[in-house]
Amino acid sequence: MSGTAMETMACRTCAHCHSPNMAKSRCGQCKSVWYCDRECQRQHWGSHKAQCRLLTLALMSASTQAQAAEMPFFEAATVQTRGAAGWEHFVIDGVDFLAVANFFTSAPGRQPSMTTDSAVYTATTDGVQLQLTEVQRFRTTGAHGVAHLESGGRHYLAVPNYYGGDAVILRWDTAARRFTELQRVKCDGGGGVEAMDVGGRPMLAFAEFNLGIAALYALDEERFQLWQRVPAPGCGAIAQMRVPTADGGQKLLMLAASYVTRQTGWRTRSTIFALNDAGSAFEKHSEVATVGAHDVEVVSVHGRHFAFYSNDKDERSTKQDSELFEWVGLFPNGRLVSRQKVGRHRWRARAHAAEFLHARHASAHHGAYPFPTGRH
Amino acid sequence: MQVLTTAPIPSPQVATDGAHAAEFFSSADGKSHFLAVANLGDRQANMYRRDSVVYAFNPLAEAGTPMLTLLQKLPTLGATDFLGFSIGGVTYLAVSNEQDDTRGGDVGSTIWTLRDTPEKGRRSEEGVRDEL
Repeated sequence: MSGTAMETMACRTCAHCHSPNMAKSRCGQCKSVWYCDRECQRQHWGSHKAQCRLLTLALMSASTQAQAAEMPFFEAATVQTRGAAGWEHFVIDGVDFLAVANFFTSAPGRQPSMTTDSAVYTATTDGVQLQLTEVQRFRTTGAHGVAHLESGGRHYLAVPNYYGGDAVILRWDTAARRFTELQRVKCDGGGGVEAMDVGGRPMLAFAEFNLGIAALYALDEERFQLWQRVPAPGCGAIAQMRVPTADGGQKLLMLAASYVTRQTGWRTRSTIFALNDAGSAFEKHSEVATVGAHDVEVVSVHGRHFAFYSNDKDERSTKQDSELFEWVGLFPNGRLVSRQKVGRHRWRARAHAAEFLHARHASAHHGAYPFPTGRH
Repeated sequence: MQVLTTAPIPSPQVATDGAHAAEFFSSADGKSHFLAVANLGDRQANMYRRDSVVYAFNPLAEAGTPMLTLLQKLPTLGATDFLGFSIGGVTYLAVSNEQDDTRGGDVGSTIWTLRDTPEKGRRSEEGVRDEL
């Protein structure tokens, strides 16, 4: 089924009973969801009201001071990071942890260094403010991303080093209540890492930008062993998505964001790979057009599957549209179909409040970038 | 109930500027969905003081209706990524700030929380409104 046909069929599906083509009225506040009738709307209100409020806030024009007091997100904590390039949240034995990958350290009057420490914190909340307590630091060299993986009751952290030539994998020591280094694996220009379950096998997928590959390591007994190196030119980030198949099952996809390549320049094509039927390797399935795609992020909600590509730049400008895609159809014929581009926006609502929030950093821009080349 | 006005106000253009990463996340109650986009800025121009953006994400939006609606700008410094997470029923959003134009990389990163307004309850009955 084509993407257009799918969208037509989905048009005006009742948000409550999911009856297709029957919805005749829509929410008068957010104007974003449709219903068969007032009864469906009433019954759906309990699950819709929170989303409705946020959508309505985005659409409203009102007085500026009132808006400032009502902005949905407000500051709860600041953390002393160093060139931060990725957070991860995870829970061990009922305790919340946060880990941060620190890309580099520098300050006025001090030479920048790619070798620094990344860190792990415990996190507690009083209902609003977040309290972080440092558990440990560990040495990294241009850390760019962090992923948590749990398998068999054991917890692992993986951090690719962009400059260090390797990625560090830590394992939680239950007795010591901290992570210890398990191993380092080769990783050239590590741009990102994704923890995956591949046919029941826990794996770590590293984006090796300098080599143009996605390198998958499978947990085998006590160590991670190289499982497959998937050619993915310009790959700087990886995500996974499970989509429905024609036979009623699910297919695991691996999405690689392509940043820049010698062949294509910044006008890249980011590849979608699918785990083959034997479960022995990822194979190329399809592509989407991207522009300096620095990251890809996926979400599955209400039985629908979305991927968002963050388009960083082309040869002329960093002001690019990024793009939201939706998986349409059944594997293998299904594809990612563009749903929305975001880039330039008109602030129809809450513009002054946004300017108010912006004011703390509203000074001139000066300074020198310490790293003249490469992808970060 | 707040009055909704339809008169447009003068509005600046806000661009995705060196978008480095994005994060889909949901409120702790699972009822609201968001997308945060990290705008790093421009390395060649050494300009990192950029607003990143949070969109309300409506996965039920029908064809012709935007799924992403700009919700809030957040002041960031060379933002490379976001992480959304929940602890104790509270929703948080952490940015990874890579560096500032003048202060280098040791600039710290901000964690925001999602406001839980008492307005939500009051508006529960007002939400049911037919347009057609």
